[in-house]
Parts: sequence; C-alpha cells; structure tokens
Amino acid sequence: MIEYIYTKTNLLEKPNKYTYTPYLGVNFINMYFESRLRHIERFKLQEENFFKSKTDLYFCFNSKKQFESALDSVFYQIDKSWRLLIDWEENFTLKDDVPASINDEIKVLTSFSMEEEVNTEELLSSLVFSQLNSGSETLVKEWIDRLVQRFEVTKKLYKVYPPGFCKGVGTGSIRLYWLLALLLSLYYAKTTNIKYLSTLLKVSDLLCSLDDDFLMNDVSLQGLILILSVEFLSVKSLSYNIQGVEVE
Amino acid sequence: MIASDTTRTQYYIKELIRSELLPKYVLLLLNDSEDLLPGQRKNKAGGELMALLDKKNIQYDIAPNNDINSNEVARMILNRPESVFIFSGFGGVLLSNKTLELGKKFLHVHGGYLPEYKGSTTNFYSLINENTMGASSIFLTKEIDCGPILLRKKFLAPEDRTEIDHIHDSKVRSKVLIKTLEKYKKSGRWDVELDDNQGETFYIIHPVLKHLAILGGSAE
Repeated sequence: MIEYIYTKTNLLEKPNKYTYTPYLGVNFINMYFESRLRHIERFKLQEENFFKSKTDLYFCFNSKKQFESALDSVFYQIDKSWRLLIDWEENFTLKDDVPASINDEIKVLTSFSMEEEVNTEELLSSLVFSQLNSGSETLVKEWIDRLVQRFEVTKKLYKVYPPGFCKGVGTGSIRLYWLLALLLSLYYAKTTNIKYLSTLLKVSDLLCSLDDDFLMNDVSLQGLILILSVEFLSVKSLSYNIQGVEVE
Repeated sequence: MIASDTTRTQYYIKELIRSELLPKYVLLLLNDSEDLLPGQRKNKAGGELMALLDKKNIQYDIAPNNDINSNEVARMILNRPESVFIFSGFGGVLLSNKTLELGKKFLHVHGGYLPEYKGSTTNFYSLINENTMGASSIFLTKEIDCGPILLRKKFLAPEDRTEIDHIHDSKVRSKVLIKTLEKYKKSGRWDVELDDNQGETFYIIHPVLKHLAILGGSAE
C-alpha cells in the first residue's frame, strides 16, 4: 500500500532531507492529492477556523485575487470545478471587514539589509506585501532566494538572522512557515519557476505534519487552507497530461 | 581520480576503460558501514570497483576513511604527484576550503546544464521544464557549481525515466567526462567553454515533482 509519508511525523522535530526519495509510480501522486485534501478538510472542521489578524485577512484576500488570475493564465488546464477550492464564499468565513490598507504595519522592503540583523516575520510580511503591491521584482527575488536557501539547508526558519543572513537565532513561530508558504505560492503563481513550488511542497509538508493545537496558536487556518489549495492546484496543473492521475 | 563506491563511479571507471582513458591513480573512498550513503545503490560495492581496477592494472589505494575533507585523506592527495583529480564523491558532499586549497584541481561533472541549472537534482527540474537532461564538467571552486565550465551538453530525456538517479544521470555525466578528457588529450589544455556563473540554484527536488518529472515521459 503506497502512502504519502511526508507528513506523518512532526517535521519540526524530525526534518526530512528528501535525499534519493524512491520512485513509487503514479499512485504516489494520487496519494499526495488525497493527503492534501484530507488536511484541507481537517482545517475546515476546526472551530477556530477564522482569520486571527487583520494582516492575515488582508494578505489572503489580496492573494486570492492573484491566484484567481493565475488560474486563468497559468493553471488554465485545470477543470473549472476545482476553482471552488479557492472560492471565497465557499471556503472562508469573515468575522471582520477586509482592511483597505495595512501600510502602517509593514516595514518597507528596502529597509532590510544584509549588514544588519533581520527579523524574519517582518521580512516575510514585507515580501508578501511587496508581491501584492508590485514591489521591486529584483529585490523580492533576492530576499526570497536567501530565505529559500536558509530553509532548504536547515529545514527551519529562525526568529532572526544576524548580519550576513547565515545561521539563524531563536526558535521561529509556526506563522513564519505559513508566511513563507504564502510567499512561495504567490511567487510560483507569478513566475511558474518549479524551484519555488518544490520548496512550497516541503513547507506545506511541515505545516501539515503539525498537530492542530500547535498550529492554531500561531496560524489562521483559513490562510493555511488557501495556500494548500493553491499548491494542490499547481500540482494538478502540472500533472494534467499524466495518465493514471485521478483525484475525486 | 578520487572515487567513492557509488554507481556513478562504476559508470565513470567503465567508460574510462572503454575509451582507453585510464586514470594513473585512483584513491578509493569506501563506505564500511551497513547504511548506504547518498549515491549508493548497494552496500560494499568497493570489491567490484577494485576488480575493475585490478583487471586494467590501474594503481589504487584505499583511503583510511571515506571523508574527502579529513586530514588523512588530504595528506594522501597532497602527497600524490598528479595535479588534476577527477572527483566522484558521495552524493551531496562538498569539498572544504582546506581541500580546495591543497594546490590540486578537482574535475567534477555536475548533473545538469550549467550555468542555468546549478545545485541539486537539477536534471529532474530540466525534465519538467524542457524535457532534457544535462551534464557539465567544471573545476570545483568555493562557490557551488560556479567553477569555469569546461564542457556542457544537453541530452534528450531517456525513454524509461524510472532509473534517473542511478543510471541515466551517471550515463550523461560519464559521456561529458569522456568528451572533456578527449578534448584535453587532443589539445593538452583545459580549455574553458564558458566562465559565467549566472543562473538559478536548485535544491533537492520534492518527491511529488520528482514523480511528475519521471511520469511526464511515460504513460503508466
């Protein structure tokens, strides 16, 4: 019996290096889809399933618009019925109004420097904000590549990165991983560079490997549902011509 | 040549023998533990490698440990008269600055078309992106996959993609290795095809995408 094993153990405690992973045939892809849909359902069922902060609400509401446009231009092979995964009315319950702007809460991207200590949450928020508001593409890519490199090497994100942006310090909150996943899904939808989808899949594995209690303290579950859905649709789009891929 | 007991090394040595480009000397890095190291398909394949080398009277030594960056191995490399070593290490092993500063050159064949595809498992990425595989010969430098490119080549995707890790990746690297050595033999120089380290750095591909790269070429 083929299983999707990459979310079975807590990946913060036992990181997976993904070296020389075995080939298990087309059923492995089907097991991945099944596993992700199961996690989406798991998060939908939680009572705490609402946006915890105005920033998260702003990020998700505006990201969704970009994902919808990607569905038309990039992921167009996907059957339209799958669009429901990111349908706002279908999946998201709003307790607050979406803020028109969150400028005051976000540090500008140009204020971060390799020569100074970087607060990871502030950097990630600034990068997501820049992506949503047409920030400098070169600067966004530079910082995303640094974050991807740090995550890929250690399979962790740290609270701060001292000058030089190498070895991080302080345990990072789970929200950092969600922000990285959101950032990567936005960047992949924009560039279709598979490198970022690969890292997104690993960050999503990590988030899905965590217990509900652990997640709910730090992450808006609706935001988690959104990034898992976008990742699911991205993989679905790439596998559209592969025989034997079946998702119900 | 510095050779770990991996499937890639087996391909290299067989191709070198077939092309009559025998290495003067081979330093073998063998894995004595029960656990496989990255790049190994089976344990303790050193015997097969030694049999190949014995058959062709190629001089070799077995290193006291399998860590190319250890002091013992560094001393052995330093004491050899050769100035250029073909390097075929265990998967993911990087040469330390100390090793790179021994005054020797390390000829490495990267599994991917440089400089576009730097980093790890890049052939799976290029299969998804453009249905090709690649290999590039370089001299190792401190920056990963950024050394001057001696020769690079793209290859069509194999019909059966299920054995890329151990067979096809090794095959395309062996072809580029042989072409590089033939070029050197002809000119007596290590001519550089490209000295440009732009391009994207990739990390170990996620198993879902690895499956898509494999399945993209064949219907099950």
